[in-house]
Amino acid sequence: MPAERRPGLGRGAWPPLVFLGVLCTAALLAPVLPLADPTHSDTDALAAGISAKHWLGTDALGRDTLSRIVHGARVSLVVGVGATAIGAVAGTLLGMAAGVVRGWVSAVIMRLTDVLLAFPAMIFALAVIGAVGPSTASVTVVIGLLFIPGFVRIVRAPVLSLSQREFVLACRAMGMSTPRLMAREILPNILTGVLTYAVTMFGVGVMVEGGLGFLGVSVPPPEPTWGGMIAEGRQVLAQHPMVTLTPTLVLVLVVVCANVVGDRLSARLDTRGAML
Amino acid sequence: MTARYLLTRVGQALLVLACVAVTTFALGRVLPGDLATAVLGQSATPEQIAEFHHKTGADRPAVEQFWSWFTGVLHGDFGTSALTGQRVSDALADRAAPSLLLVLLAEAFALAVAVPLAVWAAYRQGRAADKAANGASFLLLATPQFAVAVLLIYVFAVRLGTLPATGYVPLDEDPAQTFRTLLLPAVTLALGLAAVYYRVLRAGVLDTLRQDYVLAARAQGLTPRQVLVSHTLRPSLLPLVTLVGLNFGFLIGGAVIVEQLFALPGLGTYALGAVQTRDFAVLQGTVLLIAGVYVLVNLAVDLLYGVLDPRIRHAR
Amino acid sequence: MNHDAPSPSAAEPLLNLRGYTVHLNSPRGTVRAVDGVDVAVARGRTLAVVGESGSGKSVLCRSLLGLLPDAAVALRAGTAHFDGVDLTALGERELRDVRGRRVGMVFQDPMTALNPVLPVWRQIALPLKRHLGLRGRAAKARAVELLDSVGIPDPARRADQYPLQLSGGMRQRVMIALALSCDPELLIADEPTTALDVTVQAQILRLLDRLRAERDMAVILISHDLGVVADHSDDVMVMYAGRQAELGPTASVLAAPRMPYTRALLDAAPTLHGPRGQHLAAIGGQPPDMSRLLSGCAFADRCPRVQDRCRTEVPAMTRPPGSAHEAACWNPVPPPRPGGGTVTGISAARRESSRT
Repeated sequence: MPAERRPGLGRGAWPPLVFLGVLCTAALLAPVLPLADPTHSDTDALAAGISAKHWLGTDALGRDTLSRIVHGARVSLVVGVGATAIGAVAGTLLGMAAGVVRGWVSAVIMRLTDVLLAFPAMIFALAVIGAVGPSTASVTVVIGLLFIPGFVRIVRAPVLSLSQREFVLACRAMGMSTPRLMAREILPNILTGVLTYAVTMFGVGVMVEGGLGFLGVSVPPPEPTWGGMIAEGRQVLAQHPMVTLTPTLVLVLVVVCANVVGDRLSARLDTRGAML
Repeated sequence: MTARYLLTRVGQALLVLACVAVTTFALGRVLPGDLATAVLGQSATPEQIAEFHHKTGADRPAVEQFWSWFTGVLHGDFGTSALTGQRVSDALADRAAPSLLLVLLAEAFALAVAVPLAVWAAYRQGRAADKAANGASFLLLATPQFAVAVLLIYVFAVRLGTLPATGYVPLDEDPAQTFRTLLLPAVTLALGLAAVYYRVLRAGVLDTLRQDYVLAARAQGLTPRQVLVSHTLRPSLLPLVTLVGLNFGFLIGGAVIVEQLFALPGLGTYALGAVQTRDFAVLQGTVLLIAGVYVLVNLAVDLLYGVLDPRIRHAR
Repeated sequence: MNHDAPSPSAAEPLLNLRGYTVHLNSPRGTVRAVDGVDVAVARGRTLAVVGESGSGKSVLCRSLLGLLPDAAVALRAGTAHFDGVDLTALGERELRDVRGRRVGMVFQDPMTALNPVLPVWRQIALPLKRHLGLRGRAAKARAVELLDSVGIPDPARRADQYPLQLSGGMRQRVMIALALSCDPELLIADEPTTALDVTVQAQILRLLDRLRAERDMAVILISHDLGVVADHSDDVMVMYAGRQAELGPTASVLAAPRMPYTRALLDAAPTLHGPRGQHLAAIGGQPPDMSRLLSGCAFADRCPRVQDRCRTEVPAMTRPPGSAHEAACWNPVPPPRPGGGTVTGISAARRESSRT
């Protein structure tokens, strides 16, 4: 509603941004922070609850949950950001190419995205990771690949209509080359849409990494991952639900935060767009 | 909607399937590890492995292997599993039923919840009910499937013990049990789907409610029910139809985690097993079937568009 | 305000507005969209409402039937008696029985006012089911009958078509059939011909005239086209910035306008050979900011006959000496010399064109 829309992202976007910021900083500084060793078992406190020694308790093997969450964030956040970056860059380039250069270029790109979409995503991910071995890099690249078709679609539609607009036609008439045209005239016009979509996809990336970790095909142990923590906690779910629930909660919170930011961003950019 | 358009779409679909077939095949070749060691054990002699390769055709050139597999598929023969010796087409037929039932049930649950809720929330935009539904959908959207599954198992199987956490009973043995075993996995999938459907449909309904014909419908004294159901729902449904189709295609073999968690013998777990054992005939067949369903469903959605919206039917 | 001088022709008015006022919420504050309107319409007669866009014509009609969003309405005052019942006192449920059943409404653009995904007959069947309980085959038969009555050829075939398969004129006929489906006593036509071709406009207006006569309906015809008003209304109300500017028998108002705004409208009206469309822009200046409380006449800033009093006191509707109708003006335009007059010119030209 018009009355609610203030300049900036609005107050509601700040708590999620702060939360994500704190988590990122903690993940970045994890080796130097005074955290317990994420792989060390405290045999006195197996699946313990919250205490002064273990702020978020421990898992079934007595490993410190807070430390494991912070170290796990290194994987989750890197994969989320990296996969989104791969999807966004490749998808934007391909989408622009498919929108600006008609004919076979567009046809090939669109069919390729169709193939990627038709391929069962999880099985694709499992097979590729199986082929190259599980690591932060392979998980990131595979999820990034799976993100490409979405970005292509997000980008192509506005590019198609943009390339019919007067200013683009004018640039063409003045002899501007296609790559230059894309970079100078078209990219700035679609960047906001891509950015908004990317924020949401970051959350999806974190979720997919969690899924792979849950299946045991993300970064292998002893490196902690959120998905892995949730899967391990399942063994003691009946007796100690918090072992599973704590990492689940953090994961959900990260994705909710990303979605809130994305939502605010698109609400704000939409009004801007409407005013043009 | 011309015959030419239809032909182009079918052509595109076949092309996509052919590409999927080639990619799967190629992916199978680059996977490290060998089925032979899985079947014969680590102690197998090189001669035994060579004989196994010869028997399964793995020693022939890749192009030849692909061609014989591909022509077989065209004749309805997906080959045999090197691991179990079972015909892949038979296995797929067995595995398709739980996957199909799971997805159908999940879509039905999701739509049953999302459609009325979205229409109602849009109609009461900004009120408490709308805000509550928005918040719930936001939370669900951010909760990964496996987390939902774990929570549901915890509550219904572990705490309450009312529903089985794992297992599957075929439909022809005991339909009631089939339903009971599918209930938790279907609800797991449905919650995520419902959140997406709710958001998309609510946005569509809000958009439609601003249209002149809705004002005109109100000016005719129609009841809110008539306005919402007869005038508003159908024009708002198009994006939802696309999504339902897309997800149907995605989930038919993509519900790997859910199938795995609830121990359902579906297509997802079948393919997962094939990846792990490098059973290529199974992997190729399953992926092709899943991709085929995806492509087919999307084609159907495209055609359904024309039925739902006369603007498209008469414009093409 | 003059409360005891309804339209001269109305013995027993079907619709009678007294001091009718609607204020709307806007981002810039409260907008006085309709401000103290007194007007009446009798059965079998047509009242034209004329004014620029934003003068409150559409808000007036939509608010009568409670069609404005609740959140948008800041204040509604005055009375609106319809067949003896005050519409402003009715709740949403009661209004729903009035809408469509007793008051029909035709919208400006039939392309957007008809549902694109429903066949024509289904759209007509909905109010038939709601108000008359007609279902299934009976509803369809009645829909075809209605399409026939508004002059749609081959109505049985057309009934199964979608709006986008029909021409603009045909669509507006469908819209009219829809509005008339339950035999309303009052028809509100909100710029019914603005979106149509000139030749089709004349056909639609003649259709409305015929239906009004056949059914003894009252009609409110919202328009900004004085040529249309001249030919197709009995009375006319000129609105400016939410207020009444002039009200009375059409012939009298158009032949001898007393309020300078009406005069300016007439002077700016196109002749047959002139350009159509933005003729109202020919009046210098802008309409006033309606979120401001105006201390004087709303037209004062643009008025060629403005006096000091116009800026300090709001003029009431009164009958100036020598006039057959009312105007709200402190310094009315003197009546024209007999024999002269632009209106007869427009009118004659229009009749000429509508015959072809």
